[in-house]
Amino acid sequence: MLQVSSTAWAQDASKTPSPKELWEAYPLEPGQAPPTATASPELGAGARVTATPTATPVPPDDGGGVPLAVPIGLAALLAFGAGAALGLHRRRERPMQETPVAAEEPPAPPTFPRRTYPEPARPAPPPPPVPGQRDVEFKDEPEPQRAPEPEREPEPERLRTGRFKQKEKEPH
Amino acid sequence: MITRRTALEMSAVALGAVAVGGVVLGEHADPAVSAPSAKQDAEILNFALLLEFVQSAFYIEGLSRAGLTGELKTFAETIAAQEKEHIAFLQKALGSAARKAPKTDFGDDTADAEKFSLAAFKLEDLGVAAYNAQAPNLTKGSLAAAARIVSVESRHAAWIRDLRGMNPAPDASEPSVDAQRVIDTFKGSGYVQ
Repeated sequence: MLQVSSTAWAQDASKTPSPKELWEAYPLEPGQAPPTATASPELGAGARVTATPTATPVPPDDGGGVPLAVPIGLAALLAFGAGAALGLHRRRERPMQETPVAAEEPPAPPTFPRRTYPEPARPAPPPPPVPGQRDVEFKDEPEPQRAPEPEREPEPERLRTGRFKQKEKEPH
Repeated sequence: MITRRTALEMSAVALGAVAVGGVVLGEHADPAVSAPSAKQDAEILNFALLLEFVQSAFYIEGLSRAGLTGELKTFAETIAAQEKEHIAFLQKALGSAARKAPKTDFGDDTADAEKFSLAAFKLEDLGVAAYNAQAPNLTKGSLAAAARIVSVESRHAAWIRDLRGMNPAPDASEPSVDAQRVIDTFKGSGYVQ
């Protein structure tokens, strides 16, 4: 059983991407599950086999003086250990089983649709004055604002001239 | 009188009960995660400080090497100044436990505007992921300090995404990234020598 487990882990470990690969691929697209070293079905099967009570052939009652407490105690320890291992394994499996449910959702589009707003009937009110002082606790001096974009006034031009493409968002 | 056969049968039942108990205990045992502590805070905030050092050095080098113009240049200038403030903030929080600035090598990632932009996007996104991944492991005070930075890092990430024509806010909640994966990904950049 140990051989099966270690082989399974070794196979999974080979799937783990290197840091360089992680950096090159970062960030993953939504819905694309990152490859992780997870317990393989072989390992799960091995653990289950270990924890499953098996029908042990009862030896004939030979009337010998074998003390039952020792083997029973050892068997109890083994059974408890196997049960605990299975429990931990199931605990680890629980969030992984939930992942595919979330992954079934359609991936978010790389760009989001931009709405075009109707022209206002009257000119928009002037923007509020730029505050001269920001939170001085964290910043020593006010950060210079972006150069004023005259086309933003009197209406939010950026909403209509953004760099994003119109795309219908898929319904979830 | 209990015969040996009866004893064995009872033992089998008892073993089954013990095994079931093990399953239940194993499933509900708390994960072995060390509780937040001042020592753990220092380790986590020092990794955050390392990220800030790298980001700051990246923007400084990009501004002098990548030939940035327009809003991308404004972005780099703005973020470079804010990363310096983050460094000072974390150094103050860590006191004498603060690590020193690492030696960095950004290779070709600051060679031109496109490479710079892509690397900046990854660095900022990863910075947000790093703070979020470690948030549960911080004490309350350090968490409050980290929250003041991660929100700004998130704005950085949104800004560079915007500049790259990407969705600035792709998710309603930040995707959970394992802390070790964040560290491994950051190592993969090869920026820290």
